[in-house]
Amino acid sequence: MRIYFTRLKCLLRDKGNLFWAIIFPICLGTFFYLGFGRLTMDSMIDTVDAYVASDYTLDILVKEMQEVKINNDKPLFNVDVSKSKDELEQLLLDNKIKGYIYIENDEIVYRVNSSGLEQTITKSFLDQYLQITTLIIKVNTTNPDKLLDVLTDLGNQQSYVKEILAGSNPKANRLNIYFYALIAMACMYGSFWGVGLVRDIEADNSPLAARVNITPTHKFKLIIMYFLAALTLHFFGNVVLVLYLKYLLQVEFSNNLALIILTSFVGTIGGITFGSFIAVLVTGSPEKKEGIVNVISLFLSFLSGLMVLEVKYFIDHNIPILGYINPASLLTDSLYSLYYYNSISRYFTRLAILAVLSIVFIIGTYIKMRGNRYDSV
Amino acid sequence: MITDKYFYHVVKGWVVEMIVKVENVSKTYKNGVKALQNLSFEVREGEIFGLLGPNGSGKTTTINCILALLKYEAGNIEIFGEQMTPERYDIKAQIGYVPQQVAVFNELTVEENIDYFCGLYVKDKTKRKALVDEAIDFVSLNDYRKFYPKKLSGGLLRRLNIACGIAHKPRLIILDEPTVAVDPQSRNKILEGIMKLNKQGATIIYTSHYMEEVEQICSYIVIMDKGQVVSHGTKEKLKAMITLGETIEITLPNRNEAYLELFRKLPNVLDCFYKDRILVVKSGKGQTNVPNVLQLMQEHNFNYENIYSSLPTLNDVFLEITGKELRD
Repeated sequence: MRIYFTRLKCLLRDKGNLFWAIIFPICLGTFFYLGFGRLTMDSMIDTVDAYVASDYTLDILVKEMQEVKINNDKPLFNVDVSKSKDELEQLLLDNKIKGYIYIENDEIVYRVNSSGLEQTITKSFLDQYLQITTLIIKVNTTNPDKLLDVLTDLGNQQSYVKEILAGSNPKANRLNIYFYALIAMACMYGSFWGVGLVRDIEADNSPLAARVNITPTHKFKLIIMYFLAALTLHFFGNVVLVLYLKYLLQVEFSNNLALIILTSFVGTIGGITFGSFIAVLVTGSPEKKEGIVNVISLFLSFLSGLMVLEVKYFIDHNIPILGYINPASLLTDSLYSLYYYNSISRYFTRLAILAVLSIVFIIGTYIKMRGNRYDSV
Repeated sequence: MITDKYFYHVVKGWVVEMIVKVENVSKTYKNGVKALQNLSFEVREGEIFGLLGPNGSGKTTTINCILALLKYEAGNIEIFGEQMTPERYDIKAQIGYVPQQVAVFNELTVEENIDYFCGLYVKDKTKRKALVDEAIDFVSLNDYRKFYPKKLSGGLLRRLNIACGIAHKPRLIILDEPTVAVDPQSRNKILEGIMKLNKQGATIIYTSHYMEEVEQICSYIVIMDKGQVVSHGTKEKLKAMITLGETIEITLPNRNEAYLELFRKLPNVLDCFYKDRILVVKSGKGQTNVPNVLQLMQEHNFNYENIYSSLPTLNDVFLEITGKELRD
């Protein structure tokens, strides 16, 4: 334990370490908060202008559209039924409106000249409207005695906006995803501690490491003690970050605080062991190793959707195996499991895979380091 | 346990244990540089063994091979009669290493640094405390116990570097150029300390390109050049190997090339040349040539500022064997 405490002391006395482990993620969180933390999806969406052809309209649809609200006060649609289909077509061709709705052969047609948020919202509403009316007609035809139950259920779905935009977790704020991403990134930052671990143990990385190498201390013991010291400090930093986000910035983590901290713990282990494993595989100076680990971490983070969410969906659908061996992906997946799916089994599966990967990384690091003689020191 | 019977040498009827045995070791770096070529030597218990050679001669490479830090393509290295490998922790426990570059933790104080390294060898806290105190005393860093390395001068830092390597009282101490960039006062303290360690029973391997240091403290010397042993023995034996017996240096007010011929005609003179205003006369073994030189100068009424005679140095040995100076 003496090695552990001395290592911890060294890490704590290095102001650079403290900045990157604790201060930097907090600064980033604060910037996120100042930038868009106060925003919510509700406040981001304005009332959408919707045009329905007066000569090809459906009263019930217009009525539904007029009643849909973003929140209690703000209507989702500003419905205009004063123009004919021909007039609206001309306005659409002149780019004066973004789209219009008309009914033809009992089908709702939505004509647009381009894609955009307003068009997406309108289309999503129409899709759902169609699903509901089809359902009512089907129940009325096949099982009329259940119609009242169905209508009651449907009546409980008060917000189309939340249905469309917020996924299956009705309490979640989509912008929280940035704070989850920040936590995931802070965990992946642990990879730099991993590089530091290798730098201070591999004899060809520093004179200090060469000196430590000729002592009778077993390399595995050194690796574990250095790892535990890095884990202690980095995990502490991550817990501070989570608590800062929750209690000072008031970021809503639902009831998942304990699970987020657990993710942070396993994620920190994953980050450190990943960094040490890559560092031990790459030959060259510690600076080179740090650079390569940085590039790989960023690439894996990109693949995991930390920067562009759609990339994650693409990987999940086309190369799913990559999602299971990418620590960043496993980390974001477990956090998203809490956010999107409220799925504990999915959450624990991802966390377990990450834990197994971490074990593989640390053992791999030891095997690569064990009994090493170097070409030059 | 020492198992190899060949690891004992008999000197004047006493059995002397062989501590390090380097046999035909060759090492080529990835860039093609042949650092060691069939290098062989032995270090006996109780010696201060000097590895002398110019920069780039392979001294540090040799040390790193002995410590099983470096790969080498041929040869064999044994310490305490056992094959040295990176995982021979039992052998490592008996070695103290002072690297050429200062290798200490900048985040730990002087005392904490020594305690940390000592603790990698000695688990018992009470015993370790005594050893750390002793090491601090030994390198005279008592006034700097709570100082961080960044606050220490180069000389004090070197002393800390040494203390970290010797605090656990190892049987074999390897010091790789410990006095590089050190002020004369610290250098003397370091050299005195090494002799003291040797008197306390440690076998020392000392590498340097400063011949004066090696000459001052080493009982056995291996001279290296281009990764090979060019000569070895005690300093007396090494000096006896060469033809040079004496070097006389005369500082003249002006350089006069005609003097050279006169001095060359003196008996037993091997060579005569100028180094700036200093006329250097090298003589062979035998009686000193100083009276002859003085007589010649008197006869020809030469003016001179001073005259200085010296016996051969290891530099002379190196020069005669390799044709170049140690500091080239």
